[in-house]
Amino acid sequence: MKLLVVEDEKDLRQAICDFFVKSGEVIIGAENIFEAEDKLISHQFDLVILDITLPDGSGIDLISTIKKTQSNVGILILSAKNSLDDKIQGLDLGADDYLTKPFHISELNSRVKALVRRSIFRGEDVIKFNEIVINLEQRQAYVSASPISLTNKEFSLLLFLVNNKNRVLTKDSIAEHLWGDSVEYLENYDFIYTHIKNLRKKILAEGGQDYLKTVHGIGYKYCDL
Amino acid sequence: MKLIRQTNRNFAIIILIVLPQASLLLFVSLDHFLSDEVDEKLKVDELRITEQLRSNPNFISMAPIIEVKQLSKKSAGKSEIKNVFVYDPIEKEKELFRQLSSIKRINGNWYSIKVRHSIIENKDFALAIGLTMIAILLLTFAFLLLLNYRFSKKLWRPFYHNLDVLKHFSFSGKHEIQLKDSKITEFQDLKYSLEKLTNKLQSDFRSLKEFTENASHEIQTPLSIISLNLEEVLQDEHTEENYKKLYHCYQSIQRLSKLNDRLLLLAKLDNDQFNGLSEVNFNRLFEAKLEEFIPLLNEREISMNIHDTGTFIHECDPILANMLVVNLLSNVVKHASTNSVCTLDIGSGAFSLINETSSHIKQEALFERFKKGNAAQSSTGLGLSIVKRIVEVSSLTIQVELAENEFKLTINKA
Repeated sequence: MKLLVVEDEKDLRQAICDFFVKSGEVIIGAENIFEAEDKLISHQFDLVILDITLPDGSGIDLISTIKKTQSNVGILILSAKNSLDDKIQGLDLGADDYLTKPFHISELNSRVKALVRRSIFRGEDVIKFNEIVINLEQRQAYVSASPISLTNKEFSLLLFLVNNKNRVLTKDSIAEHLWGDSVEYLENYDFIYTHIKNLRKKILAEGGQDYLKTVHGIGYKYCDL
Repeated sequence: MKLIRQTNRNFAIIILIVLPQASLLLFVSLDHFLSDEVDEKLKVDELRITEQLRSNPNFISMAPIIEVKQLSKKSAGKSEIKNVFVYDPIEKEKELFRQLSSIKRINGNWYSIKVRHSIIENKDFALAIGLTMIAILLLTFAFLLLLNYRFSKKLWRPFYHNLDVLKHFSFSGKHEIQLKDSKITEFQDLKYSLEKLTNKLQSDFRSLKEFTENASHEIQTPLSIISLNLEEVLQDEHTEENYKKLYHCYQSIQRLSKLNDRLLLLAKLDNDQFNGLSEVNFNRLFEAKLEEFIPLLNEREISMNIHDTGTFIHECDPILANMLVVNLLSNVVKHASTNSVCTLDIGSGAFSLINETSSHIKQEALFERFKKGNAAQSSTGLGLSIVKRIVEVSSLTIQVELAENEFKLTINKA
């Protein structure tokens, strides 16, 4: 997949680019609206990651250019927290998702994958990790061919883990991904342990391998044995 | 009370005080003037009678107006004027007359001459004039009052219009205030001053809002960079000790960004930047949020007991309502004792959360910023300050009762 990241902060843009390059994607950076327009005219992207506050204007203004120049593109807006006006305006103008800073890279990865999948596969897709199969349309996970009965949270957890396979996911990023705003005022994320435990148990019960590794008490990693 | 009504009332009071006094003065002076006229006339009458008596000694009396008597002997007497009651044969009753009585020597004979004039008529006359005057005055005043009211109303109309516009003025509004012109210099000055003031307020408010947003952006961006890079560093293999250190850094960054968020939220609350009002059903909101929170509560072996006695519907910003409920439930998760029961009492006018707690904080310090129930916890200490501000801007009231190991928080409609 081909991504465009429009972000004026060099270090942040670089961190995002590095992450996606590492996972084998093509990503181009632009630091302002002018540069972004230039890139948009000469390339077709699957997704644009768009910062709102740019030195030569608001990222919101770029949405119409993106829609004009790109045939099949997802737009993910990045912005400072609590700027609700931007959120509503952005989504109204055709942005597909909204992420507030600071964010976990695994969360960005998860959202980007979901958006790209939506535009490329139109929802008709299945994610595989060895014998684990996740059908997104049915919201159903399988071990080989046998279905696992998962709660909503467990399904989201599995999807998040598989989407970010081979990465250490901190407890914080998992809790925020699963509970969103509800855990904003909590500082202790040990409650996710129960969900991890149950997910692990259910996969093992269907004869799946335990790919879930605990990492030094800071989080979890889903990876090949 | 309206200004016009107040001035008119003052005007009316002055009239009510002045008018009786003026009428009294008018009546007294008229009366006095007429009495003088009567006395004058009596003196002239007496002179005429005396002249008549010189040529014709047998002057005929005309009681009770003229009484002339020839006296047999000289008797001393001064001429005097006084009021007397005399029987009037025509009116057939005793009436009040003004009487001039004197004793005169004419052609060697002594006469007693009494001339009278009815003063009842005078009094009636004075009264009639007085009443007419009062009526005229009253009519004039009433007319003036009405006219004054009408003119004032027209004069003050731009003022009241502008006052109305000002009442509906909002700092966060995008449009400049539109005030009406007036011919009155003072009103026009007021208009210019108000326009200047409100425009300044709006631009200050805008720059404050922009500042909070920019500050948020400026702080969040470096935090994002640190956080993203730390996450990447965490991907690599490290010694156990370094892992711990890195994770501590990572957690501190998370905490810092939460702190930043909350301070900005408080700033926005202080600036009244949440005004998307709509009707919020708190029963439903609690229900939805509890679905998320039940696993978190269960984790700490806290069971939730819901007492539903009515529907709490309140007009407020839905984002704030959401924050309020999340904040309160998070508080329960954080501070309720393990293996205890939390009760949510919800009725149409109030809802309260009661839970057991072991954390100790003084009631007065509860809502203060950066006060923590448990110093060891890595909380920001802003949760309840946010609750308090949300409650205040949403026209609700909050009450906290701290008893032995029990914490009760009640939110009422203001």
